[in-house]
Parts: sequence; C-alpha cells; structure tokens
Amino acid sequence: MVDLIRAAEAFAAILTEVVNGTVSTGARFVVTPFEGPTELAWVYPEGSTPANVSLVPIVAGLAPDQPARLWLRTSFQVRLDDSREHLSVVRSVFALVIDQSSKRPAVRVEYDRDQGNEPDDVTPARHRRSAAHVQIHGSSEEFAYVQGLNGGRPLRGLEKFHIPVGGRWFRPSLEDFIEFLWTERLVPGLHDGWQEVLTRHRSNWLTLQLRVAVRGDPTTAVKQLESMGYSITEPTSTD
Amino acid sequence: MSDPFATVTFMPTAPMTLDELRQEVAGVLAPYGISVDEFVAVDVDDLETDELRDLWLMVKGALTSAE
Repeated sequence: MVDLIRAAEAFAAILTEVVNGTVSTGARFVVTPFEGPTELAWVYPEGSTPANVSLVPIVAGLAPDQPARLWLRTSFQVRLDDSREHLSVVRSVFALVIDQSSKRPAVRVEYDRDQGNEPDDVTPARHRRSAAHVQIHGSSEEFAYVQGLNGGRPLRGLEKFHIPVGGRWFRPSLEDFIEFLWTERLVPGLHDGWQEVLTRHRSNWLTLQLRVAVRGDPTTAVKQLESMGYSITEPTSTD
Repeated sequence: MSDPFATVTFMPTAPMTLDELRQEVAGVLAPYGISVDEFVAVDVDDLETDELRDLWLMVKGALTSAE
C-alpha cells in the first residue's frame, strides 16, 4: 500500500525538476494534505493554497535582470486509486498565463476526472465536456460562423470550447505542454539540457500511463501479448 | 543508478482542514456574492471568471462527498 503524502511528495519533486529544468528557476512544488472527509492532497507551487495557486515565472531565455512576462499555472489534486497502490490525478490544470495580477490565461490544458466524457465511455456525451481538454482564450470568426449556423445557444467565445485531448490514459503531460510552448515559440526559450529533462520524465510518464491502461483493460493487453507470442497465465481468483 | 531526487528537498505544507478550506473559499467568493454550497453545486462552465473556474477545479473534490 502506498502512502498518499509520500507519493504526492515524489510527484511534487518531479514537477519541480521538470519546471526548473525547462522554463523557470527556483520554483518548488509542495504538497498540502487535506484533512477532510475525502482523502486527497494538492500539489502546486510553494506559496499556494487550494484557493489561490501561485504562478511560476517563465524566465528561461530572459536576461538575468529581465522580469518575467509570462507565467505557468500548474496545479493538481491527487488521491490514491482504488487499489491504493498508485497515485492518481483527479484534477489538473496547466496554463500559460499572460497577466500576473488577473492570472489571465492564453491557453490551458485541464483534466477533471469523473466530471467529463472519456473516450471509452459506454454512453457517449453524458457530460458537457471531455474530461481531458484544451481551452484557447481568444476569438474565432469561423467558430462564431458555425455557431450562428446551428443557433440554439448564446454565442460563445473560443475559450468556452473544450477540445478533447486523449482522456485519462493518454492526456497531455506537463512535459508535452512545455514542449508545445517552446516549439510554437510561445516562450522566449528553455534552459540548456531541457531535452534530457523532458525526455526522461515523459518516458516515465508514458510508462506509467501505459501501465494504467493495461490495468484498465487487461483483456486487450493479454490478447496483444499473445499475438506477439507471449504465454499469459491468468492469476488465481482471490474471491 | 543515481537518485533523481537527491537534490530535491521534500517539503509538505501543513494539512488543511475542511473548515479552513471552506473559510478560504468563502473569502474568495465574497465579492461575487456566492455561498460555498452554491458554488460547488454549479457546473464549472457556468462560472463567469477564470478565477472562479480555477478555484472550482481545485476545491470541488474536497468540498463535496466522494464522487
């Protein structure tokens, strides 16, 4: 059995290394355990509270005396999964923030477990949005045109649309988001050595997510391995 | 193999109780004239500001019973 706080602390250490190895300096992610009816914890930058998450200044690519003009907003709500063997992200937000005081984002990637559609739902579209989604803040004449064609609802800004991104198993990681910011030149630069940091932690993330997917669908995993020549012995039921 | 966290100081912050969380959320909601119970009952997409949306995402699971 895994200890939630210890597992959350290890996760916080990974986030610290990823952020300081790419876009920031001196950031530190911490854990706030919740002493309430639901066992969970928050993982976010030092100085945060659940109701007020601190921003991480993006300083890579800037001169040492140059103040940050962009910020990363990154926070997670975590718990143990039903087996109590694995840390599970319940909700997460990564956003590129353009104004420190209002925390106005330009783009954000959100995940809201159990409150949105998943790609493997038996009944599609039970919720108003996908659990894992991207929201872009801005306007689009094309989206306005399409809404006008279909009518029936008030015209919505671009940020009100939830673009689905992979569901709980294959949603983007923080590493993916940072890579996106750099490849699209939405941040001024990344620290030397960022490739190694991103590659190492993303490899770990992909391995973890694949293991989660196998636990979620062992029948498909067995079929695939058997098609590759592996012999699989089913475990003895402990019921 | 080296420990990837060897240079990282683990530092959990103090735990937060349900009462403390409710007080903190109530403080953020005060200018909006919304109670904590009303807040957790709404859908996140019905919230008008990014501040409220971010708040909802981070506190929803703690202020409602296990989902």
